[in-house]
Amino acid sequence: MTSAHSKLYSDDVSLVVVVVDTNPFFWAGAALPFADFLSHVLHFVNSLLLLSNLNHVVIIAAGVSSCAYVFDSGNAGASGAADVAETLGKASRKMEEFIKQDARETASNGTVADGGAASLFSGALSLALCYIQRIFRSGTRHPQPRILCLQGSPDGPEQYVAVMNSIFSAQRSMVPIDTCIVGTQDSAFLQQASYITGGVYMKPQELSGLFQYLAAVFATDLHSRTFLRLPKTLGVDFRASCFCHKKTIDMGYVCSVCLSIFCKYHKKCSTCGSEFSRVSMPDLNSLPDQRQ
Amino acid sequence: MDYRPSRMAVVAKCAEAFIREFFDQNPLSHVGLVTIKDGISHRLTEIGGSPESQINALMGKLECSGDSSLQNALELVNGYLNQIPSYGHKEVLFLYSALNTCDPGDIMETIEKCKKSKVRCSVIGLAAEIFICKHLCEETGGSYTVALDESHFKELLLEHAPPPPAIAEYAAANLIKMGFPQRGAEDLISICSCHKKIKSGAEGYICPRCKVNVCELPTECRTCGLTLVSSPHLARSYHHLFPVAPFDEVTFKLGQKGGQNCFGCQQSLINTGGQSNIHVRCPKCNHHFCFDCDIYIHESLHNCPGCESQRSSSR
Repeated sequence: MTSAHSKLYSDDVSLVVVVVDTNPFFWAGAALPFADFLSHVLHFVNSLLLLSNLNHVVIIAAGVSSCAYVFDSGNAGASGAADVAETLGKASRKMEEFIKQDARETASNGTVADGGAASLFSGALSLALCYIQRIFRSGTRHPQPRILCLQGSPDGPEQYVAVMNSIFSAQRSMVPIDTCIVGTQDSAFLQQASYITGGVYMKPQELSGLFQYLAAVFATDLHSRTFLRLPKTLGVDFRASCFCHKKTIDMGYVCSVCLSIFCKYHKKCSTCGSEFSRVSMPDLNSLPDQRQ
Repeated sequence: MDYRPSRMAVVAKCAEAFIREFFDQNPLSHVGLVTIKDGISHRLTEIGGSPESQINALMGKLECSGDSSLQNALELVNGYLNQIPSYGHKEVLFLYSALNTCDPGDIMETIEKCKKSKVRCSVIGLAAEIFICKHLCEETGGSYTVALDESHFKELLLEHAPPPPAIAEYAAANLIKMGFPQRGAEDLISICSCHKKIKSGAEGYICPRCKVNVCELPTECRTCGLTLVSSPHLARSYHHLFPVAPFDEVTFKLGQKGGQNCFGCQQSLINTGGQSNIHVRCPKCNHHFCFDCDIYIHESLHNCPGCESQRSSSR
């Protein structure tokens, strides 16, 4: 959907913001251990940096109680992008620090229910978009940005509005959101995100080969993507869920004031409190002459 | 102050940009175009929910001639707007370049009629301020602005795209029945109801009530009349329900812990020049942001990254 536009810079220089899900509740029960997953991701980041020395990669971690920047290749010292060991070391150390900090915050914050807890993807996407805006402001010669989400934990329905706001803002700035699901269930939010922004959504079958999936599908820059056949999602479910029972419906009632969705007729809207009157039919006797 | 190449061309171009922006901000709304020529007003396009038909009409050859009549335009528009259901808000936007209006009757009566039907009229003038336009806008609760030059005109026009605060008495609250169609199956071949062309099921959406194939959303099913939308269309307006609180200005104090980098873009907030180190802070999560992130958050993103990155007790 989104086509890359040619620029003064080089067409194939990219800025990739990787959003990593570090939800401990999910990783505790996942088939792939977190340490292996992290090494796949860091090797992928290195391969991106090796593709072009102007490429820029940023890693943002989405935890259960907080989100933070973990790695920014623009801050690398004079060692240059090819110093693999240093990149890996720095990123792993910061990630470890973040996870410990996140765990401390989760423990002190007693409201998190375990098991179904969702990561704060809305926060991480908002941070990614703010960083991308900063790159846009740096002048006409800037890399082409995109966001890659690696998600495993389930969607948090309380984040729906925030995630949709981020998606629409990404669509306006023409930033594709790619998704790679490392868990067992599909994510409806990220499916919609990838569809609306023109990104790629993928759920690999063999997680032990994650690096190969990442390098084959997500490593190419936006301009070169037009020459590749990338995985297509077959049907994004755009049905809404009703505000009263949270079940997906295909026909419902929408409040004309606040646009909340209900599955049955109610006398009063529970979101905005407006009382509903019956729809008045238009006065058919006052139609002006219709031109055929 | 002349608009190049001609006023008509400039107005048509800006109107096209306005229509795209309007449907971006209000995906469920409908727009129709009316022209005033030789004192008579004609309907250019039907009131519809798709931007393409409106833009095609604007791209066509538009000619100017004769006097303009505000009263005839208002009468025509009133007739059309009376047909819409009671939960809709009715608005008219005039792009007016003339310095007078030649009316067949008493325009004050027509203005009273508009006021009674609760139609909100706004005017953007291209020439000078005219009393009757000002009176019309004041009576009906609209806004009257006059453009100084081409870029100012575009700015004023785009200001009308975000929805104005709705006056509760003007439209009754109703529960509108809507359908949320899914894409059809790959192997289902049918004729779409809008273009009467053969389409595979996977290229269109299936109306949940009458199972007919429609090409795009949002639309009204031609067979059963059900309004069909997808959840992102409704979600586009949710940011009006949950706006971001305005940020407070703070200055950087020496020795202050934290707050050295903007939380959103990691840019340093400390101005090395030693000049005013003012930046902003969210009153709810107390994170610090730079001015650029502040503008982006309030105008486009509608989420505070700091508040979203915290698990508050309401989650």
